[in-house]
Amino acid sequence: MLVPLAAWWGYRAPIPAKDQGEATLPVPSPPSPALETAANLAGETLDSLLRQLGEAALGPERNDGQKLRIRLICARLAELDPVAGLEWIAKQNPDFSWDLRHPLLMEWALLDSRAAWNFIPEGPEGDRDRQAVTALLLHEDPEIFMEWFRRVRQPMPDGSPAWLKIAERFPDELLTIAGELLEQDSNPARPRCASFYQLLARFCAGKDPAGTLEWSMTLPSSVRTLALAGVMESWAGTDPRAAWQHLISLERGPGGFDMSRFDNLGIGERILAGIAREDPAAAMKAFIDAREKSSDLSRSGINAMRSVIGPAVASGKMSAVDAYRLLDSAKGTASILPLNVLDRIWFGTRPDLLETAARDISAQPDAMHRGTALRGIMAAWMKSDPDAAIGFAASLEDGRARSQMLAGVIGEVTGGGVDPDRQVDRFAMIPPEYLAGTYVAIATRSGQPVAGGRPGMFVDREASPDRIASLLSAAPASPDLNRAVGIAALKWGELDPSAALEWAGTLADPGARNAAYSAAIDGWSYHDPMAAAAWIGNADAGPCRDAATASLIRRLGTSDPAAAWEWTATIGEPALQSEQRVETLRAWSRQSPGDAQEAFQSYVGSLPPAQAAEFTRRYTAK
Amino acid sequence: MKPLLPLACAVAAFFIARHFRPAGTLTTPTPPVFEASMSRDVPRGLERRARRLADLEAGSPAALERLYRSGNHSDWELLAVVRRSAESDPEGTWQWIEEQSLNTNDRRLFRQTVALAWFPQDPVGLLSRLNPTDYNDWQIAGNLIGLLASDDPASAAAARNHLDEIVAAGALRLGSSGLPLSGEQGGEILLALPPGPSRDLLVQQYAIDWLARDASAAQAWMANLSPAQRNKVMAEFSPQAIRRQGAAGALAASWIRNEAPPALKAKLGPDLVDWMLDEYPQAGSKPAFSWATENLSAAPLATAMGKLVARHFSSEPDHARQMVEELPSGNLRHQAAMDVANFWAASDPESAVNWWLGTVDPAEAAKSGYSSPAYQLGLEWFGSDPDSIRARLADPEQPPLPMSLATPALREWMKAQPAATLEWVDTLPAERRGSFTELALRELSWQDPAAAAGLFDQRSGTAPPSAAGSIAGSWYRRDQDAAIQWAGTLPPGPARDAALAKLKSAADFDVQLGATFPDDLRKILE
Repeated sequence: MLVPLAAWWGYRAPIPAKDQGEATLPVPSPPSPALETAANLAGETLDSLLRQLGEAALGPERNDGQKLRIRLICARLAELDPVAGLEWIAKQNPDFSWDLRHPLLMEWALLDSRAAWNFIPEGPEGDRDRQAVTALLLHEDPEIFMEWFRRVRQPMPDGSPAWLKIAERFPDELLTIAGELLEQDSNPARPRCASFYQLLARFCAGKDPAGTLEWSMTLPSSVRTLALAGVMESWAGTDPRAAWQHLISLERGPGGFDMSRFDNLGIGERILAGIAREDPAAAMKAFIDAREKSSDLSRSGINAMRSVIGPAVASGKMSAVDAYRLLDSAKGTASILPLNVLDRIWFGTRPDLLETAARDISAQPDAMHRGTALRGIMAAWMKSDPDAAIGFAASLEDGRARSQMLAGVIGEVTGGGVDPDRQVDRFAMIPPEYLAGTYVAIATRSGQPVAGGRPGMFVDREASPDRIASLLSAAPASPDLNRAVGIAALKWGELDPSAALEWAGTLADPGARNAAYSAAIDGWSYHDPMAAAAWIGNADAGPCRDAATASLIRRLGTSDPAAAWEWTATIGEPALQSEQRVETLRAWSRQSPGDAQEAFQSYVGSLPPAQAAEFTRRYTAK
Repeated sequence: MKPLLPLACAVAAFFIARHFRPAGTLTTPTPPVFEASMSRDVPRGLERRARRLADLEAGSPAALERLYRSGNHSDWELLAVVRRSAESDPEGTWQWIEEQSLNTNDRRLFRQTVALAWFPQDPVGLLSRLNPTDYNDWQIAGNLIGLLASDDPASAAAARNHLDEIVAAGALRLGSSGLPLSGEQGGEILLALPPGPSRDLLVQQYAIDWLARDASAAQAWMANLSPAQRNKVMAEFSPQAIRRQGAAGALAASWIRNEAPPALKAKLGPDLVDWMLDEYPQAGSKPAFSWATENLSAAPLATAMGKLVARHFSSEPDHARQMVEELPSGNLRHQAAMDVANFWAASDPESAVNWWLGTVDPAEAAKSGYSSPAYQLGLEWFGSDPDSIRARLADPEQPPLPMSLATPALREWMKAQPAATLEWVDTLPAERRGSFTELALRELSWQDPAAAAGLFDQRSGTAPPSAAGSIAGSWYRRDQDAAIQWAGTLPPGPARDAALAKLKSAADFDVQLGATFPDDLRKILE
């Protein structure tokens, strides 16, 4: 009797029937909430489990313990009576599909894949269930997952270890499925199934990178790039230098790959960062060599160097001046690297190291990127100790280094983003004698501001031109001040010319005053020369009016030279008037030579012979 | 020993029988074959789930590494391990995340989880790792701001004590969304914070976000703020709000009209004009026009005028055009002409372009570059009627169009059909052919300089020599050696001169940036 009974017991189906009774579980040591809870649940009846599921699931918010209990109850229900469990869930709340229905179906599938599959009805809702359960099975059991995946063909692979296991187990089948999906894809140029090739390439490259690279090159172009990306991802982890060489060779080989795809996918960054972690100089050299040969991997280089050099400097593993020298060694088209890295690698560095960095770098020759580095250091230092930062910068004897560093005062990143008022607050901390030079350095960083064009940073965002104006009013006279008020008045003149001209009139230094009038009228007359002319018509005669008139004349010269010519006569200062006449005639002669010649003849005819000869000489001189 | 024999037989029978067990118990088999089943040698069902969940009770970077590499757990399951690991070793866990190639979402979620566990233990340690230029770290800083309202007094106190650093780390770059607070209760918590710039920023951001949701309630609460703070809030709120209708837009409009500082009133004036046109359509454009001319000048007036006439054009096109033509020269007229022409070009691009060319100064029409008016109009024309611009360019009876206007069309055609486009260019009137050939070859040279060089060589008698310069210049940026080699093969003459001049200029520029002048080029130039 014992033998047949034992044989039946062995043959018996694995799914326990209802009221299977108590399951045996090992006693946990040390106590584990999961094992303890499971041990308690093992002895519960179906009704009790459903009651407990309701208690755990129906509350307003689930804590970790309740979530754990729900998952274990689902596993137990799958053993006891999954159909009853699923029916109960459907009755309670159909919205429980994600956290109750799908886990229970998944547990059931692990015990009886076919029964779970067949339980799910056909149709869109059933499709959603199948997709969700398949995604859950990915982490559970490769065989059962593949049973579902063959039919559902979702989800698409990613680079997670679970998918690598699937690739290891079913490489050929995944390739077949990928090929079928590729044929059916509605977007043949960028098929979704390209991620299969990336996964397979990544997996195979772990064993044979060169062979996988060769295989990738034989694939259709629509999936080739991602397959190559998979190879490079894998290779970056084991031999980044070899990976880089092969990546670059792709661009130069037959077909010439577009490197920007690899740049966007972060592949180049991963490889370069791998090289840089071992040897930053080697990474720089690799980037520079590639850049000289036109590889479009700029984002890769910038991100890789930011991620490696910044922490190395912050931790003291690399001195700031070494980092600077290394980055500054990138020349030509590779100079995109220092330009975008040297201003961003200082944020995690301690203030004492920042001071050392600023001292050492400011003592370097004024190479192309010294300003970028000093500005970046200043911006980082402003965050922790603005007084010390400004005090140090102001103490620099090298005037150029001083301006470069002080320009970083507005680079501090603040909580509200770029806050113009806060920027002005910071700017106001600069000693008055350096305000104008710093303002010019900031405002001209992106080029000289012009009317109608994009102004430089700070000028554009500055919401209160009157605050900047008032700071500049207190600055001592200097050529820098004239340039600074010119830039400020130009942009203010475009926005609110009356206010800008009013401010211009308050400036104490005559040179600065003239520069401000001239620039404010330039900004205004670009948009509305008639209104600007009307203002000048009512202004008192004198050098300021003359400076403003000269601006109007230059503006009118391209659109209405005849009117500009008439305005030249109103300039009181003889040298300036003569200069403007010459310029206007030249502009006029380019548009209407006959009219310009007539005006010239008429004017020189009205002059005494000596003056006429001198004017003619100046006009005709090249 | 005797009783042991049946027992041994029974055990043997049990295991033998297992091999004959059916794959499943279904009575209605489906076409797909389900053959997979889990081995009975591993735990199943409840026991399996319990063991796998027990695995997740580990809490260290090493356990995290092991579990992640196993592939046996989903990312949301691993999140609990990340949290537990962060509780015991936040820095190590953070470092582990930094070293993984996680997808963006997982990386963000894991880092946020570590940050919230790390902050109460070692606020300075965490804050020193946050990058104020990283979007993901702004989110973390926003989460830390949320701790101000935490039930855990230690977390809330840490957030208060480190408010400046949290704000500096970018906590408000994404608005005040990190705060699990709303209404007056939230406002009270913020107003009770220690005074300082960080509190001010936080209060302002809170008010701005609240105004967008419930303008009247937020406005009432703003009575608690100083006049300077209220002004600051409105200055930040209004640029976005004025582009919306409803209470928020009305509030911003009122503030711009009556309270905004002059510079801001000027900057936002054109948007207010737009708002007025939308808000009071029955009133027509007169009130907005009056407000603009009385309150704005220079650039803001030009922008506002452009908006006004473009709207007016839809109902009274003749009058709108006349208004533009009567405007004084300068950007005031140019901007308005551009806005009308752009609007008009959607229905009748050729007429719009002809009118625009006759209305603006020649210097304005000749401006080049992507942002030039001519380029923008060309883009609009090409978008609405590509055939008509092609016909116009080829019509010898019509005056030539500015090159900027033709560029967008030619650029698109070259992208799609370079050979056919060049054939079409060959049929253009002689006086236009040269410049269009150069433009076409230049466009192609950005995509495929070798092909452009080949086509130039085929047209060496007809293509303008300057085209060789364009090709050499763009090729040099992609492959210096190839560009130099090609230029060296050109026969002596203006094309070779143009190519070499361009290469020399590009190499000289690189030398200014610190590069070395290419030897091959030097030899050719010698």
